[in-house]
Amino acid sequence: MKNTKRRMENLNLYDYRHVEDHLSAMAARGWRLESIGARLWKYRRAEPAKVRYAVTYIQDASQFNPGPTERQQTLEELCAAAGWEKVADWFQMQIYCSEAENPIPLETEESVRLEAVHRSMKRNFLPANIICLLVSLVMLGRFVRTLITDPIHILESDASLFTGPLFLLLTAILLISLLHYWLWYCRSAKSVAQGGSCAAPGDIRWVSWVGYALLIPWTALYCLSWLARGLPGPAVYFALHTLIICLMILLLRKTTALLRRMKASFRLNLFLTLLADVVLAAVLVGGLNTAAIKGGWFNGARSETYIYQDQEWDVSPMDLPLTVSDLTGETYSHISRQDTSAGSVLLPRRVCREHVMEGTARKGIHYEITKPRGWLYDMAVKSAAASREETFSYRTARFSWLYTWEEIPAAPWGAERACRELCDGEFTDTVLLIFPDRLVEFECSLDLTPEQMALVGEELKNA
Amino acid sequence: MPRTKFQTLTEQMFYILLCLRRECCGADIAAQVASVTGGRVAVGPGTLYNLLESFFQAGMIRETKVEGRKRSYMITAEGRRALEEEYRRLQILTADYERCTGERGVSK
Repeated sequence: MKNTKRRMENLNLYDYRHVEDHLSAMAARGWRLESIGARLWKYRRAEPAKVRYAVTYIQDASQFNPGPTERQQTLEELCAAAGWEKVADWFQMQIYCSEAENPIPLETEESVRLEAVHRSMKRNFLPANIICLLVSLVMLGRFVRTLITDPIHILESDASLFTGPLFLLLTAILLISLLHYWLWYCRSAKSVAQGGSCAAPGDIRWVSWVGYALLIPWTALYCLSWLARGLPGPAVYFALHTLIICLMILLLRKTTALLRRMKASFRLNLFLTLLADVVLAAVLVGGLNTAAIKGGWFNGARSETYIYQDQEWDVSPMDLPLTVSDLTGETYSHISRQDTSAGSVLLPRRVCREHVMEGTARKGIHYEITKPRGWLYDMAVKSAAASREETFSYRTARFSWLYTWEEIPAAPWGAERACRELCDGEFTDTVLLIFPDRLVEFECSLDLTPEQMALVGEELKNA
Repeated sequence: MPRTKFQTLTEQMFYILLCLRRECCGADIAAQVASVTGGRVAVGPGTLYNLLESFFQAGMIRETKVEGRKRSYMITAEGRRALEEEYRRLQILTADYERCTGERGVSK
C-alpha cells in the first residue's frame, strides 16, 4: 500500500476557501498535504482526522529563496504561538494546519486578508497572466487578420490551422481567469467596505478541464493529420517537442530545488535557473531540430547523395511523376530530385524539384501540385491566380517586384485554364495550370514544344 | 468612498497599537489583546503579521529587538497620533450618543 500520492490539483492561487476545504477533506480521508511541486501536490497517508487548514499570503515568498525569509519565519512564529503548524507554501500562499478544536482563525480581519491576497496576486498571477494575455491577443489578432485578408495562407498550413484555435482557447482561458479574479476582488472589496467578509470566489476549475478536453484531442488530431498524409516525421517531431518541454519544466524545477537546498541566494538561484533554461533549450530543442533537419523528417524519404562540382547529387534518384528525361528523352549523369509533401490537410500540396547535369549543361524543373478540398477549390484558384508583390529591403533601399498572371491557351497543356507568370511585365518560366481537381504551378528552364506541354499536362493531372 | 488607510482604525488595529505602547513581541500582542478585551477581540496570526507589516511600513511602529524568529515592536509618535485620533473619534461618538439618548454609559 502506497504511503504517498501525488495529485494534480486544479486550484486558483487566490481561491483560499477551496484550498482550505479541499485539504481538510483530504485529511478526513486520511491524506495529509506534505509538499507542493510544479504541478503535483504530494500527500502522505495518515489516520483520518479532523484537521483544520488555513492559508495566508506573504508577499516576499518565492521558490528561489534559499529558505524561509525573515518575514516567513516571523509569520511561522506567530502562527506557532496560536497553535498553527506550517505545512507548505505555494508561491505566496502559506498553508497551515491545526488539530485544535477551535483555534483562533489565521485571518480575523477581512480587509487585511483581501489586501494580502491582492498584494500577492499583483506579484505573480496578475503580471504573468496579463503578459500572456497580451501575447496571445497579438497572435490571435494576426491569425484573424490573415484569415480575413488571405484565408488561403492559413488554410494551406497545418501549423497555422493548429495554432490559431489554440490562441483562441488560450485567450479565452486567460480572459476568464483574469475576469473571474477581478470580479471576485470587486465583490470582496465592496463586501469588506460594508463590514462583510470576502466574497466566495466561485468555482472555475471547469475552465481548466474544458481547456484540457479541447487541447488533448486537438493536438492528437494535428498529429493524426500528418500521419494520415504519410508523414510520420512532423508528428514525431511535435510529440518529441512536447516531451522536451515537459522534461525541461521538470529539470528546471529540480534545478531550483537543488540550488535552494545548496542555500544559493535568490539572485543566484534565479540566474542559474534561467541559464539552465537557455542551455537546456539550446541543447534539447536545438538537438531535436538538428536531428529533424539532418534526418529530413519534414522532407520525406531522401536518397543517398554524393558531391560533384560543389553540388549534392543523388546516388539513386527517386521516382517523380515528371522528370527532365521524360521531357527531353535524354539521360543525365548527375541528377538531384526532391519530393516533398507540403500544404495542409485541407490543401495538400506535393512539391517536386529536379536538377540534372550533363557535361557543363544544367537543366531543371519544379512543380507544385495542390489538390484543394472541393469547397476550397474556387478560393484556391482565385488565390493562386492573384497578383502579388514581393519586397526586399536592404538598409534604406527597398526593392519590390510585382508578379501577375496572363491567360495563355490552355489546350496545349490539356488543362481547363492556363496562365503564365509575369514579373514586372516580363514573362517568367512559370505557368499555372488549372485542372478540375487540382492546380499545378510548373516552372521549367527549357523552351517547351507543344508535345512537351501536352506531356506535362498529361503527367501532372494524373500524378 | 474607500477610507484612506489608517484614517480610522478597526478594533484589531486599535488594540494592537494600544498594546504596543510598551515594547512587545508579536506572539505576546495576540495574548494581550485577548486579555485586555476579555476575549472579546481575537487577532489571528495572519492578520497580526500583516497588520504589523503595514504599521511598520507606515511608520506607526518600530522594531526594537530581534531574537531569532522573535521580533519586538513599539509604537512611534506617528502611531500614537493615530491611536489618539481614534480615541478622540470614539469619544465624539460616545458624547453624541449620550446627548441624543440622554443615557450615560452602556450597561455590559
